[in-house]
Amino acid sequence: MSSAPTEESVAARVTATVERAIQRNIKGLEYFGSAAPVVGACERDLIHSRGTMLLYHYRPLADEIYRIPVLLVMATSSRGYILDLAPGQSFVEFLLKRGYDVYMLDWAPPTAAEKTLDLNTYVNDFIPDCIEKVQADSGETDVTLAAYCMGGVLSTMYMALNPDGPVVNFVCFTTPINWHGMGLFSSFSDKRWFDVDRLVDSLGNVPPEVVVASFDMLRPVSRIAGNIRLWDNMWNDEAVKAYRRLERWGNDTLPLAGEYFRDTTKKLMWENGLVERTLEVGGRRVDIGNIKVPFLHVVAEHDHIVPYEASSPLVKMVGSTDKEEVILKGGHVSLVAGANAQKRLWPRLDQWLQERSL
Amino acid sequence: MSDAKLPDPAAMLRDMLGQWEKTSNEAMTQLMATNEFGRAMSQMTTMSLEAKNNFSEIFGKVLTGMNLPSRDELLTVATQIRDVDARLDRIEALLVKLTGASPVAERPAIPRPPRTRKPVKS
Repeated sequence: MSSAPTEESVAARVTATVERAIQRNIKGLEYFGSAAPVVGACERDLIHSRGTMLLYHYRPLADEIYRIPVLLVMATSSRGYILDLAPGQSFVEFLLKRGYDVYMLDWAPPTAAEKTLDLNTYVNDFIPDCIEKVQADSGETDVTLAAYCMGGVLSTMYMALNPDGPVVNFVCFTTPINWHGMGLFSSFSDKRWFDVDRLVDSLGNVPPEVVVASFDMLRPVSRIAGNIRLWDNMWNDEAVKAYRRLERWGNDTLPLAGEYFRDTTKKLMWENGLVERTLEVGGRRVDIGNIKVPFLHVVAEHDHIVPYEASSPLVKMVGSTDKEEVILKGGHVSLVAGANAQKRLWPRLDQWLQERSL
Repeated sequence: MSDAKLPDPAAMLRDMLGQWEKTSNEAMTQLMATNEFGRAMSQMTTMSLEAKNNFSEIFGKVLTGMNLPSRDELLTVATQIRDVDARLDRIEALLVKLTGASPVAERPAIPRPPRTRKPVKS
């Protein structure tokens, strides 16, 4: 049984509250004068690049590694450093320490000249090109593909079109397949009022502000609440650093190549081509049932960007016999980065991958 | 612990913030899911982006008048340099193929541990 508060405990609470209030003010001033946080924990080499496409190899951190290299494919609107934020908070670092040979297909902002890149370029050119380079660099013919969000969509298309390819394990994180289940995104880009041709024809590439604004509108007051929480935690250096790294990543969104955006809007958002099995990329029909390799789809229970309705058909449609869907607590970003990911996703993925990486 | 019954106003405020965030987000997303909102937002987005684009074009003309390059022109030059780089890479790759030299020869010496790792049985 707990007793009534004592004078000492009240005094201790008041002291702590005053102490934090002072720290908030001192550190709050420092916050506005300080530079942007440094991101990236692991040493890496750019081994191949072609315009917007960047292929990195992370330097191994284990004395002995698994035979099959892992190629991470990032979403086209996001920077890859979300998977490598800081020492101790890096998914890549975790994989390296667990003995995986890690590569990452990351993206630079497409230039005006790259507005003609379309779904076909990403699926039938960039991804296979990087897989080939990973094979050459690692000296292994087999590759594991692990892809996040839109990177998962592109990788799914690639896998469906190349069922006999070199990829022997396929992992997706929170990947939308049923685009009619994308909630507000579907409403904003409804073909009754969203003139994608006019937008792309007049702008070329789609600026990052559009992407950031769309994400913000899914949770319109969360940015305000986040700032209040930041002030509340201002006394705590580690919490502020973690917040700033994520904030930097959230604001560091990439523009999207114009034709790619047009294709995505028409073929996925409007026609729902992956679920309806009508999607053609490079003149070939994309049938997810063609995917026969071991498959893992990890989705987040509270994902407001890719709701479960959008991601859940993937595991059902994949033709593999060895396939699994794992629903973990967390949101779209906290699934892969942050304290929850360290406890939930990372060890779960290691458990799944290790037996299949020999 | 004696502190258990001690009310914590800061914790109560944090809870209230969480509740406010949740209910406000739900209410606003419901409003935004209507056709009227979708239509209005789509039109506003397109118009504001086009206006921004037109402004950039006009400003570009001003810069041309001042004999200065615009940001787009500098980016175009950067792209061209990148394309030349990429072409050199392709030529280099071809040469590597023809001569049989190692494609990773120019990379700094990095550790290449043996690929013999086995899962640890728990």
